[in-house]
Amino acid sequence: MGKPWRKVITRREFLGSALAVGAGAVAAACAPSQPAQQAPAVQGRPTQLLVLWQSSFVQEQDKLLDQMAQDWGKKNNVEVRVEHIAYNDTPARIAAAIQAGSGPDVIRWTQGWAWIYENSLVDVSKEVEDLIKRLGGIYPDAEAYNKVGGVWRAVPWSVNPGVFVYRTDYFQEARVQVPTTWDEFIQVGKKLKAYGKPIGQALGHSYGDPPGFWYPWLWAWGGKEVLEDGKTVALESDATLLAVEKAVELFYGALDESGLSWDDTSNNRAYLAEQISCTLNGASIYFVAKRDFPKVAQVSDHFVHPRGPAGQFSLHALFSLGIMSYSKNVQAAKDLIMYLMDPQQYSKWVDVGLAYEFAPFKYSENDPVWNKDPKIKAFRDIVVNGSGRWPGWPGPPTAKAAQVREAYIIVDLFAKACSREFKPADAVKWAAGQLRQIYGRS
Amino acid sequence: MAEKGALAEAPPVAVAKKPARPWDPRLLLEREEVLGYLLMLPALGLLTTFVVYPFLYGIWLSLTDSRIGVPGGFVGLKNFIELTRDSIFQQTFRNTFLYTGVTTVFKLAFGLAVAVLLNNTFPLKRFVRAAVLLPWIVPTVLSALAWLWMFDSTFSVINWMLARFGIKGPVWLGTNPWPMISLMAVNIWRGTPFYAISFLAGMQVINQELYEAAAIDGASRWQMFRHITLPTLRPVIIIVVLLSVILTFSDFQLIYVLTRGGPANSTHLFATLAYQVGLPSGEIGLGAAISLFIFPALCLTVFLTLWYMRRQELD
Repeated sequence: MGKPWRKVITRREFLGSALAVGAGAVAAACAPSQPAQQAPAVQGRPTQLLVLWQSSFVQEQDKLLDQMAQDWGKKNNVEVRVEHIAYNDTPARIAAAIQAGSGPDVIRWTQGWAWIYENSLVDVSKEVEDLIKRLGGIYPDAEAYNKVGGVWRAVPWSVNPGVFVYRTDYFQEARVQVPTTWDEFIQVGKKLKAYGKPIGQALGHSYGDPPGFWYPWLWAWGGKEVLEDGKTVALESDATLLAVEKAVELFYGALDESGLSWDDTSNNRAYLAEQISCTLNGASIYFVAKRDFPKVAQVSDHFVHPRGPAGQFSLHALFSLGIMSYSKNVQAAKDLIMYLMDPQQYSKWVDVGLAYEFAPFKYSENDPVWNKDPKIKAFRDIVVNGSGRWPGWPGPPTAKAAQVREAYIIVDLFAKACSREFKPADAVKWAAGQLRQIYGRS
Repeated sequence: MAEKGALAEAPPVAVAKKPARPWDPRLLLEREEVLGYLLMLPALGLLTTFVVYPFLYGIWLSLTDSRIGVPGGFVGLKNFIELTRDSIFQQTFRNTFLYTGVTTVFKLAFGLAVAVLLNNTFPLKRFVRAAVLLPWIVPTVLSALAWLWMFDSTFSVINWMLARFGIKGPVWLGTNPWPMISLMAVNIWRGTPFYAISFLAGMQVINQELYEAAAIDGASRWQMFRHITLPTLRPVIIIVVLLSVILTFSDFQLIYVLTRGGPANSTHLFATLAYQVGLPSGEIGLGAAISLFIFPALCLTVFLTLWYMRRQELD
């Protein structure tokens, strides 16, 4: 006889219960979520805000940003979580978030990403127009990247310009002066390479340094991807061919030839290891040198991009903050961004990074950080002098131009010639074909 | 029989019970054929959610001009046709087959050699067998980062050692053909333990009497390997090669960490190119089409392998 308290569960009962539990779980999962919160809940349950941010070479800036976000969150009953990831990993996270319709509320964008993902971004025109008025105007490249079809899709956050950091002692010993034209740059580089300390420049597939050098190089010799309409491919030209031929001369005569394998960190290491005498970079090399290699910092200085036959050009890394259209906390996200953009907070962030990044608004030209160290003024000058352009120039930085950049077509135009995979003319033909394919897609 | 006959002749006793209705939901669960399918449902649901749906969605995407955040329209085979004309894709196609072919041959040869060595008795045998697995156990990203450092143009330990012998090492990840060779070397280093341990497991179940009989007949070690070990091991070899080809064909992490497909696309494989086109460039339809190019090649590999195995069984 069985025990009275022990009920035997039949197969039918077990399956029935399991189905009921399963159905309940499915129903709960499919139930409509709570209504969207449009403003920080000052009382009651805190609003949650997730911010996706690329890790900086200057960690002090990341730490301070986290702190400022937390401070604002505490005051406004918002739980702010800032997630730092690598630059090169950001596109995958953005794509996954957009496709899933959930994820970070605010994402830090760079370059022309706002053009690629414009449909997934909230209109922030009111906020940006307000900032432009308050902060003395904005630089043209910051506007070009973020104003898509007359609508601001992201708030320009910072500019991270690159200039040439160089070893004053090596320059002296090799008896060369700071170059003011690209032809001089090649000649100076040849002497430095002969001296045993070549110029270093990345030519691999990496987000910042390779495009940062090779786009301005192309423009300076007169080459361009497309015409002003942003649609007609114009790469196949004598000017582009000249740019590629000069690149080959530069590569074998003046550059460290390992640059073909370099990513954004390689030149930092090579410079600090005293392998190279000069390289295009943000302020991170100088910042780290001052902190960890003071003797190297002492004999380092900076100069801006030389001029080419077509003029002086530069391509800055520009960052912006976009609010995702799927976010349930749009107002909280806007409030946080406006708080961080306020010079009272923002200047502190610029200061700890020694102007590694600074605001793309004109008030930043007079930021006190520029008085801290005369050697960093080149970073301000290259932004203020208006040489900054964007992929797709002289057209707008369209989604197609961003795709060309993401596919490293312009970088590979030079890499294919410098690695001798193609002759310069064939490399130009190859790149023009790739451009026509991308711009020709509907 | 007598008992059965007695039962058959017994008077009906179930007068009070109604005859069972075949579609009574309570009784349906008592039927094995229904219950079997019901118990399979959770697994089927998981497979549908995580395998069938993404696969079908991938096929659909490849037939559209979708971009991230922008649902596209149906374009038929346009993406595939465009890809076949694209020089970067053509280069990727060649890279993928070369990478998979070369690494598979080397992993097979090294795996067999290591397995034969490990199948002997020697001091610290268990420790060595466990240690051999390390490259395969360590997460790929971690080991790839270590290799990145070893290939670094400034701090390469390999070049540092070569320099001690007066040899100037190449730019491992920069100057062709070294980037592809370097990637293959790392893939072989990582994949060989999987082959070796699988072969070792296969060798340990081979009947020792076969070797003893061969030894009595005067067979050499090579002859034993050639005529006993290899034929007996063939099913294991085929399965291991099959799995390895599938994994190598779709390799991503190693390339992503070491070269990102550069320099000048010389190391792109299908997976890395699909990522570059589909995610950072936002052309998810085209990216899906690149991914799907792997599918027919893998199907053919699986079909040929299974056909060969079946033929061996029949023989």
